[in-house]
Amino acid sequence: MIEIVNLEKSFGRKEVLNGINLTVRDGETAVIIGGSGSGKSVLLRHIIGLLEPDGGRILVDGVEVSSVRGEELYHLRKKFGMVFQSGALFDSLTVAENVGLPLREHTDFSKEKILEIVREKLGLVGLSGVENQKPAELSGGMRKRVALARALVAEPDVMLYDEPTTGLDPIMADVINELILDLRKRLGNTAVVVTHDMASAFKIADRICMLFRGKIIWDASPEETRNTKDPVVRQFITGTSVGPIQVV
Amino acid sequence: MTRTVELEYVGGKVVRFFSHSGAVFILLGQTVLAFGEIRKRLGLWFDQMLFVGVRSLPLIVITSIFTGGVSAWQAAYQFKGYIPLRYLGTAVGKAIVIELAPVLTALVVAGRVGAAMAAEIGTMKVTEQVDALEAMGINPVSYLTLPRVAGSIVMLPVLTIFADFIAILGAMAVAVFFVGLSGEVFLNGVKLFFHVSDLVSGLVKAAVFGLLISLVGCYHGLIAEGGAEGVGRSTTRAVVWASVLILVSDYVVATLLFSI
Repeated sequence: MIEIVNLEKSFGRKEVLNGINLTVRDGETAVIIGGSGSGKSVLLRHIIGLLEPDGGRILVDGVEVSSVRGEELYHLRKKFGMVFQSGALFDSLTVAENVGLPLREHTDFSKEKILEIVREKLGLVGLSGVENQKPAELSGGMRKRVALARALVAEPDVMLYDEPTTGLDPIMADVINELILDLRKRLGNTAVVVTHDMASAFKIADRICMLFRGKIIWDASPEETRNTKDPVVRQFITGTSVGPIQVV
Repeated sequence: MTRTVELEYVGGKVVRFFSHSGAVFILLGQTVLAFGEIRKRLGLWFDQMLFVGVRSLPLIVITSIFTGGVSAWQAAYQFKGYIPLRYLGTAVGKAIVIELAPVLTALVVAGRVGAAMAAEIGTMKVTEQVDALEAMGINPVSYLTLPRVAGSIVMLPVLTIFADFIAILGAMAVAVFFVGLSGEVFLNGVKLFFHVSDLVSGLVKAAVFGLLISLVGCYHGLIAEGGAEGVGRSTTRAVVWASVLILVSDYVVATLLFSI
């Protein structure tokens, strides 16, 4: 379980998170929506300990993320798989080496065994036969799927997705959505997804939370979200420029 | 008012200098602590030795030939009328082994390897690849810095041995073809007063330079931010700081190794 209590974060004078409270239960998929620059990715980075909070705390299965350091923190991170917005694949490694890296680092599996698991995971994301290609040779959608395969190769308890469908065409975005749903069905893991793609949010979420002006201002089921009269959430999900959300 | 602004500017620069210096020392400490994982990084270490050492060799050959050649030519010019030319090999050999080969090799490697390390790691940083390592529970210092530092510490002395040898050959070529000395007289001069400790001191210097080049390159890569412009800035700083540190540490190591 992930518990976020009164999380605060500022960059210089810019206050990004201002008292976030959120609990994600085991096996649940929580989707966090919000405008560009609203702090969604910052929130995700706090959960995995890539950023330190200015105030408040984050507990993962009862362990406070900001209180652990060094090896203990690296150990805690093995519970997570994270899909970065850009994919963040290592340019110098092949697809197979990218996907197999967590296993090479954290297990004693033989090369053959790792390759077998890598092929299986690449198969899961619908990519077979690309093991020896470099990330630069792949399309944007393929890179996202390789990143997904890499994040799930060690079968983590928690998956963190940072804008998994951004920059993809609607069909490829739906392929990614289906993959996220399929993985959850197969592995039963917890997921936190950050997105501003509402089609994706409605499809994959158990809960939709909206981040606005540094706070979670909405936390409800996809159905409730779809039918809400809350002017801020309504404006965001319908994508209109007129309303309480000011476009700067 | 203007004086306050100037003081603030200078003060800011001083604070930044000490903050960067402290951070480089912390990175050094983290690299030393990560040394226990070197067996896990043998492949990456080998790759770095290949990159730092073998692939720098053509550049070292060219610079060393001309370094040796110009040393012989200028020494001969200064000897003229004062010192017998049979001592040309002695002076040039000593200068090459103790000073020129280690320092010039390090400066060439700083330009090639230090810049490449800062650019590669800097690009990884701004494209979230370093964060991805962290997110996978992999220590970036162990994965990125340790193999580069270990590879540079080993390969700088190896390159320096090549540079010593090639520079002396270059000097001998100038001595024979342009100064009119025989090869035998030149080599006898090199052997005269040759001490193994001179060679070892040059190699110790080279290892220190290897540590500095790689550490500064990795550090500036790891703090890169702001896209292509930030990576460019980090790369420039890595080369400038590595070059400055090579010359400063050359003096410090020389005062420690050579008592007058």
